[in-house]
Amino acid sequence: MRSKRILWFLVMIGLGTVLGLVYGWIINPVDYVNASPERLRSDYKTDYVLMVAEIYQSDGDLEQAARRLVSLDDLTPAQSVVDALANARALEYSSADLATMTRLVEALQDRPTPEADGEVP
Amino acid sequence: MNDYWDGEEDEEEIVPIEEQTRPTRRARRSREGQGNWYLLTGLLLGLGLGLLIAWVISPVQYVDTGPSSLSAVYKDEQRRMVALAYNADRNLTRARERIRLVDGEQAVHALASQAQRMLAENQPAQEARALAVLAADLSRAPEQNPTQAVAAGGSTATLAPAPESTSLAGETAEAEPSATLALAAVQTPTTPPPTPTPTQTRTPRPTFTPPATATPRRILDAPFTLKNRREVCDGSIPAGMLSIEVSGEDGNPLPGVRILVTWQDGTDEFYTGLAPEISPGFADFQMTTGILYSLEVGDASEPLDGLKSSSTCGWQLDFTQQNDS
Repeated sequence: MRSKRILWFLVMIGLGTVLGLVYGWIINPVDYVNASPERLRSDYKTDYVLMVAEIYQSDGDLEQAARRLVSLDDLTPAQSVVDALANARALEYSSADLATMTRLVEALQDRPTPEADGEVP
Repeated sequence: MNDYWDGEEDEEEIVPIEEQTRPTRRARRSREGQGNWYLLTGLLLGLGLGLLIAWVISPVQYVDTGPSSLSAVYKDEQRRMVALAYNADRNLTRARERIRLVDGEQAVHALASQAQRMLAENQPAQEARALAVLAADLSRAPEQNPTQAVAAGGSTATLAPAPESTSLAGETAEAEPSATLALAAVQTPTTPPPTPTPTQTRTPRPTFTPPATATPRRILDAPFTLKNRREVCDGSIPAGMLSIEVSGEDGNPLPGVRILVTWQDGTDEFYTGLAPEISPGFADFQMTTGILYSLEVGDASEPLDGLKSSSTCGWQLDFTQQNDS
């Protein structure tokens, strides 16, 4: 009889754990308000890249554009723009916006890397 | 401890009632009182464990959030980007949609406040100015409706069901309320890409695509003129204080307008809108006795010279934008 009670005790612990997880993950999850840009949804990331491209088109500061792209994800700046460009096409961005982003990715791909210059990062 | 697991269901040696001693009867009543408390204990332990896992050890981590959930530092960066992009493309409709995703209806105030902060922290004045210009233009220019947006520039804003938020903890949760795309011109449902992991589907959210529209001339390009200048000595304005109120052509207060105060040994630059509780077009400046000041509102206005502090009175200066159309 004692083993039966221990079994039920463990069952209730399991049930409580499941209920706690359901509550903590679904019903009342941690309120996440301090996200970083890498957590942004892909369409917002794409628009962020478009903003970088627009600013680059205006001021021509490629290094600043690259720095702004670094915070977006773990990819290289050029790769970030390539990914965003693909997403922009899927989202049917205007041809002018696609051209702006294309100019940025071309500039980033032509940009000499610090290693190529013999600089120590 | 053993008594905890031994309830009234346990088999016991049957002892005639007359042979039972008083302590034996008391122990039996105690075990009956225990009942099924062990079940509740187990449930509570499990609940605690579950919450510990869900909230501390492995909390939900959203991977598809929106700009409104960014931390304060990244929100500042996002606002800066929106303002600089607006400075580059002059697309007010697009900037309005972008900044709404960050600050909702508080966008103008947030932009003006950040511009002030940046100036106070000696950050690039050009960026602070871009924020202020956007705040001013947003507060002045009326919103276009979708048909106007389409007519103006062939907007391609798209509303499409977006993939649901997926948490790294294996749970699915909505990262934020649906983004509002008031200017969406075309609603083209597209199929979300298949997800390899089974996830719970919730209400589809619109996919953000920046609208492309023609934008009217920038608001701050027009000059401001002094409409009213009076010395206030009743104490409502502190002595030596310049109380400045800037309004647009329509008479509404205008935030984000640059005010430049210069004197012999220095300059100070600030923007209207830092004290929205007074007025969105309000700004003030404390003068020092014995110094002559010159004040310029906006970028295209004539400077107002000869401002001098008084030991008993302050100044009320009202500027309004010229209607040059």
